[in-house]
Amino acid sequence: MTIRRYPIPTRKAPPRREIPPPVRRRALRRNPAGLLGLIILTLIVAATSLASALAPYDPLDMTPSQQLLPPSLAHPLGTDLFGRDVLSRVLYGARISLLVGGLAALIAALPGILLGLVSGYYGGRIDSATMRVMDTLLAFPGLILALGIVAVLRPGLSNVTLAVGLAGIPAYTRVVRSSVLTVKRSLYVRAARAVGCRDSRILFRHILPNVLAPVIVLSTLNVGRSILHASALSFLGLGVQPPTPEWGAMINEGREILRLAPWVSLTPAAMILLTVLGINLLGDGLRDALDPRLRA
Amino acid sequence: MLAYLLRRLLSSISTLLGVVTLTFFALRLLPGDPATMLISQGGGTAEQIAALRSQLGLDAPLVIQYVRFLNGVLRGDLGQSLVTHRPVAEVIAEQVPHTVSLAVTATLLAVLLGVLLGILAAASQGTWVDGLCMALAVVGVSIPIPLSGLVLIMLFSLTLGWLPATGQGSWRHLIMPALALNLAFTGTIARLVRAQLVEVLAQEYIVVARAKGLHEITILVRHALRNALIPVITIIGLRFGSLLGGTVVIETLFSRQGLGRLLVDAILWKDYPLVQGLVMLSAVLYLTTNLLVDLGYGLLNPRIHHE
Repeated sequence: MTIRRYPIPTRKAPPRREIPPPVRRRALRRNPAGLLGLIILTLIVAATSLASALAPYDPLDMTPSQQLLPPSLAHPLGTDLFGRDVLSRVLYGARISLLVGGLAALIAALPGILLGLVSGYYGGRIDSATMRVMDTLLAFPGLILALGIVAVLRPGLSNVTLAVGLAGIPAYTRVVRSSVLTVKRSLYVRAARAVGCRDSRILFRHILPNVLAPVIVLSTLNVGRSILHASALSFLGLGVQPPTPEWGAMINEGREILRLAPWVSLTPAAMILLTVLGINLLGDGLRDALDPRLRA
Repeated sequence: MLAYLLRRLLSSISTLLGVVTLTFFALRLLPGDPATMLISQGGGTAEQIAALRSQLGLDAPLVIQYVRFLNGVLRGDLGQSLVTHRPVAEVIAEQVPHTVSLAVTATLLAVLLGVLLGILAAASQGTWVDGLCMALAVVGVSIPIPLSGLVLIMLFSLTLGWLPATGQGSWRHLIMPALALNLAFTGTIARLVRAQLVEVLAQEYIVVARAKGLHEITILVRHALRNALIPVITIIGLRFGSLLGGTVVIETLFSRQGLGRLLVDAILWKDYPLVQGLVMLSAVLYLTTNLLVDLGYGLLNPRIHHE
């Protein structure tokens, strides 16, 4: 039998517990899917910003003798009906798609957040009126609402951006409002009010930063949704008009010649998939990291 | 329960009123007036336009017009198409069966595939099968509808020659558009079913069932799935109401007739009364399914007592 020696307790600090790094960073690191999304997106954004250097040809340059060439060394992704280089068009198209997606998300976010803040903070009549309008807007399926707005505004790139953006407002208002309802009861908000802060200061300095987590998640996913909707509208011929390279419009251009030259349609479609996949993966990762409550 | 039912019904009706009001004023925001547009195809004098304006009631004050519009909507009168000069309700009604059959097939396929995928993932939790199923689900959620349609056409029509690429008429024409329309939803269901099952499988009554020596499949299907499906049913209802959005793209891609295609054409033709009718219909559809889901929810899950 051995005598077990117990260490004599010293006055040193209790066994050191590992101090966890900030939850957010750790969670994103532990989430390989989210990281993958970030990598995909970084690559796409890099390729987009370098489009003029990477693209082998002018995206609008028509060469009638080089119609519908299959992928080759000269044209890595083949050529389309007008002999334009598909790779160059896809690269330039990324600019438009990302721009439209980002702008639309911004157009949705700013008024949406503002309305949600005011509605949640003041409550009462302002709140019920705002939410009534938002409920009405939410009753329209997103793409239909965007289509309806395009119908009023007339087709075109900037109107599609606006329409897709406007259609996204209610989602922000809802999310922000419900977060504000919880946050506004917290001690620090009451303290700020007791100290005599003005409402605007309370709203933007105290409440806004604390409801930002779900907003960031929603915004990320919203960029993906906007890209999908905008490309759908362009696919239907209501968005970007022909010679301009845009993914949705390119899919439409290749639709009739799918048997002859599948690359014309499939390449831009695959790019949309890749972009939206990257955004969704990143968004899911961010959600797990920032706001587990939102998990589906 | 009854009080809840009534309140829910009332709030739906008020939202519905909001929808109708919004679409009415959206149309009035448009530049140009319907009478001029109606006549301009044939060319017309100022007097003719004025006559048509008063015939259509466009010379009345906005409030009167609004009341008349509401009255018309209640009686199912949505105005006249600017292009075909037929009643909008009639034009829409013609296309309803095409889109409904597509939406129903799409929903059935999505539920079947999504639930299967979710069960498979949950049953093999933590293995590569689980990973694969969930990866498929994420791709499904992110895939743009045109791409899923194109890939299906490439595979089943152009390569294998099993299904017709375009047109409509038989069930064979329905499979690909239905699959493509709801691929995103399939992914959503698969993820939801998995998440629910994983949670349910950790419950004590499952441990008991296992201790009794029940077969794993019996446990999954009889004990776990039943409780995991309630949220799935909710989102099926919500999704069904908004399917019209996707049909816009699908019906164009597969050259099918239907409400979605009609909406796109109406926008391109600037047939505003038709656009108005269709947009309104989509909201009504959404609100109705939403209401039904909410009501059905209480019946399915007795634990939920509507306060």
